[in-house]
This record gives sequence, structure tokens and C-alpha cells, in this order.
Amino acid sequence: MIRAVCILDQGGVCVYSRIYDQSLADPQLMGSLISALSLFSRETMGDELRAIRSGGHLIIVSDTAPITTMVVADRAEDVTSELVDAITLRFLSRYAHIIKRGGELSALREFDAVLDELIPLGKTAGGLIEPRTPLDSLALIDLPADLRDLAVLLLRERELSATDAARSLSVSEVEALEMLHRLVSLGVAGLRMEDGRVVFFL
Amino acid sequence: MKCFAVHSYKGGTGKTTLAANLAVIYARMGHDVVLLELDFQAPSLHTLFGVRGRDAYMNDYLSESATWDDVLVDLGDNYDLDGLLVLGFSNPDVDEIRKQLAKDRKWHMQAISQLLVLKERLRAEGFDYVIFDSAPGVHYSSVNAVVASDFTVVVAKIDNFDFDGSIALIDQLYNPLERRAFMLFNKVVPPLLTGSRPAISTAEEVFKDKAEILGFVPCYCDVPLAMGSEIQALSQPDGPFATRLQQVAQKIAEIDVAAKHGT
Ligand SMILES: Nc1ncnc2c1ncn2[C@@H]1O[C@H](COP(=O)(O)OP(=O)(O)O)[C@@H](O)[C@H]1O
Ligand SMILES: [Mg+2]
Repeated sequence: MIRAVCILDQGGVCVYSRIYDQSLADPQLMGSLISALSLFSRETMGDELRAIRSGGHLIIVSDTAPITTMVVADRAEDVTSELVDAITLRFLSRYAHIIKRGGELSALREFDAVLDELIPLGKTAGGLIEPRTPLDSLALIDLPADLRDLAVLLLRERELSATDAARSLSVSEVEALEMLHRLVSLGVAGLRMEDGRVVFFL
Repeated sequence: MKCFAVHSYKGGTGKTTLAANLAVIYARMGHDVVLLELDFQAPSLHTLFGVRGRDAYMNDYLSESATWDDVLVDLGDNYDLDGLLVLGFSNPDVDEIRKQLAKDRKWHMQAISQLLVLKERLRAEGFDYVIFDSAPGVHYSSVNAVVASDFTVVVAKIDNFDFDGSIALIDQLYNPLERRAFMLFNKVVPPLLTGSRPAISTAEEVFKDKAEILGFVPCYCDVPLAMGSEIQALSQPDGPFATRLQQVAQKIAEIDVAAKHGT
């Protein structure tokens, strides 16, 4: 079971996190801990930290300048090195410029969609993300304008797959998926696995 | 199908009166019309249409404790209208009004969802007009009505309360939601409409880049004289009030709902 994925910059600041298990510690705190431990192990043992065990969880760490990828799981079998590399590479290929130059971090939220591709929700804690706040009409006013039509569609349908959304809004499935994930990141929609596909709901 | 909310900043501007008359005017023209009361704080349509003791109200439909079939009632035959005139009333019971005020965000999310479902259903059934008689201000129920509609008809009086309030609604509610606003000035004191008409010019100036103006409806003593239980478009279809509203109805009919906000 995978419980979280965090990406730290070189200063040890968590720039992106996806927490599947809401009972985990704050990603910023975990990031600081990992970066301190990582530095300690490099300086005292001359080796890069690969994994630590803490509170029944295994934290896999991979350093690839300028980022550190951190995956929190239950057992070593849950995380292959291919998975950690894939996360690192996909992240760097999309956002290396933002990390290096320091840009708008909110753009990184789109990485949620990539993670859902890399880690099937069945393998994450719960396989479910609950919405944090109701998508009522006042929340609708605060949404970014490009998400509003999708939000109204979701309100009417109450649950949607990316395929349904793409069809109704005449956009590509990739675009629909990306927008649906943004609603999840904003906390106004949830997602769950159903018959091998991701269903977004209110 | 055209779906619009009749809204205002302050109460008592004439939303219910105008919404009901517009609905009747369209039904007389042979259009199939649905008029839904979404003002849960001050239900009034039942008084205007003389309807008592319904089994199910809009409140129940939005709460999912009644189907739209239970709630909606066609009054077209009662009045010998060419089109359907289907109404959904809100519950006038004081206990219900109080309960409505205590609903949480989740309930209001469900309510907007139910409203959107109903709108799609009415579109599929081939209705021509869906009119929401909304509560004033920015209560959840009014914002829900604005969200579910294609555009908003803002009923305002010619005074600075309503000018400032309507501008605030346009800037902070309709624009962020990308809903076009159409101003309908009501209860205009007749002297303001004659002579050099400076008050009218002021209104035109204030709303110039903000909203289109649908018209100016004078204050007619006949309207309140009927004590809120007479619909002029039914009782005096050729009277001055109904005639004025027919022009407004025509203008609304010409609104292109496919045109996106700001274009
Ligand atoms: N053009 C008008 N001239 C005179 N009285 C009007 C006019 N329009 C509405 N009224 C009266 O104003 C009062 C409030 O109208 P109503 O439709 O209930 O307003 P709202 O729904 O905005 O609260 C009613 O007594 C109604 O008869
Ligand atoms: Mg009213």
C-alpha cells in the first residue's frame, strides 16, 4: 500500500505532495525530516539514503538533482525502483524549469494526473480521495473560470469519468482528466476506483 | 429553451409580479412555460395564483423527498392558455421557511444539482421557457438560481440603492459566474418617464458597459390594488401594465442564449 508521494527541492522544501493517507504527518514536516536525515547519512556514511523505516512505514528516497523523490509505503514490495525512477523522470521532464527558476508551484498540481497513471489507485491507501468541501454555488464563484463548465457538469451528473466529461464538454480525454484532477486538488471533488477506472464525484 | 432567473439586490422590487406576468404572457402566446419559485424566504406565488395546500413543494424536490412530477402542476387549462403553464411552488409554512434557513452547504450543493437535473429534464421535454423566481440578494437559493439559469433578469427600481446593489451583483456574482445580466427597471414613477427624463439617462449611463436594459415599467396603482392575487396579464391582458411587459417579453425572446458571456 502506498501512502504518499512527496517531491522536495534542493533546500528540502516540499514542492509537491500527494497524500493518500490523510493520517500521515504534514508533508512539509516529513520533507524537513527526510532532508536532514539524508544529509546526515551522506556526511557520516558517505552514502545516499535509500530508505528509512519509521512508525511502521517505509520511506523510499531517491536523490536526483535538483529534486528528491520520497514515497511512503507499508512494505518494500509496494515500491519498485522503476516506479520511483518513473515518478522522478516524469516530474523532472515537466517541471525541472519551475524547480530551477522558482516559478508558480500551483502548476505542479497537474502532476496528480500523472501519478494516477503511474500508481493505480488500487495500490494506494484507501483507493479513494474524499472531497474536502462541498461544491456549492458559492464555491463555484471561487473556481478558476476554465473549470466552471466542468464543475456544473459534475454537479448535474454527481459522478463522472474522464471519458464522460470529455464527451459532454467536447474536449480531449487528457484535458478532461487534467481538469478533473484540478477539482480534486482544490478539494471540491473526490475520486475513487471503480471497475478499473477512475470515477470523480462530489 | 431559454432559462432565466428573475433576481434583484433588494426585496420588493417586483420580481414575483414580473416573473408571473412574463410566464403568463409566454403561455398565452402558445409557448410551454415553467415557473419555479426559488424564494424560500418569502413564498408568494401560491398567493398570486390562488393555490393552497399542495402535497409537495420545490423544497421537497430539492431535498430529494419528492419527484418533480409530484411538485409541478400545470395551470394552463385553468386559464385557457394556449401553452402549458407549469408551476413549482415553494413551501409557505413558517416552520418550513425556518428549516430552509438552517440548511448546510451540502444541502445547497444537492439543491443546485437537483435544479440542474430538472432543467435538463425540462429541456428534453421540449419546454420553451423556464423562469426562476428567486430570492433577493446573495442567499444560497438565489445564487443557485443564477448558476442554473442561462442569464439573469435583474429587477431594480430607479434609485441609488438598487443602482449600487445591482452593480455589485453584476461585478461580484454574475460576471464571475459568466452570466449575462439584463436590467429591468420596475415601479418607475411616471413623471420620471416624461419630459427630459434625466433619471432614465442616469440609469442608461450607470449600466452602459455593465448590462443591457430590457425596459422601464412604470409604477401602476392597479398592480398593488389587486392585493397580490391578480395577474394583470390574465385579468387585463390589454391593459397598460401587461402591454408594457409584452414588449419586455419580446426583448427577452430575442436574447441569444448560445452567445457566450462578454461576446
Ligand atoms: N409596476 C408596478 N407598479 C406598482 N406596484 C408594483 C409594480 N410591480 C410590483 N408591484 C407591487 O410591489 C409589491 C412587491 O412585488 P413583488 O413582486 O412581491 O416583489 P418581489 O418578488 O421582488 O419581492 C407588490 O405589492 C406588487 O403588487
Ligand atoms: Mg418575490
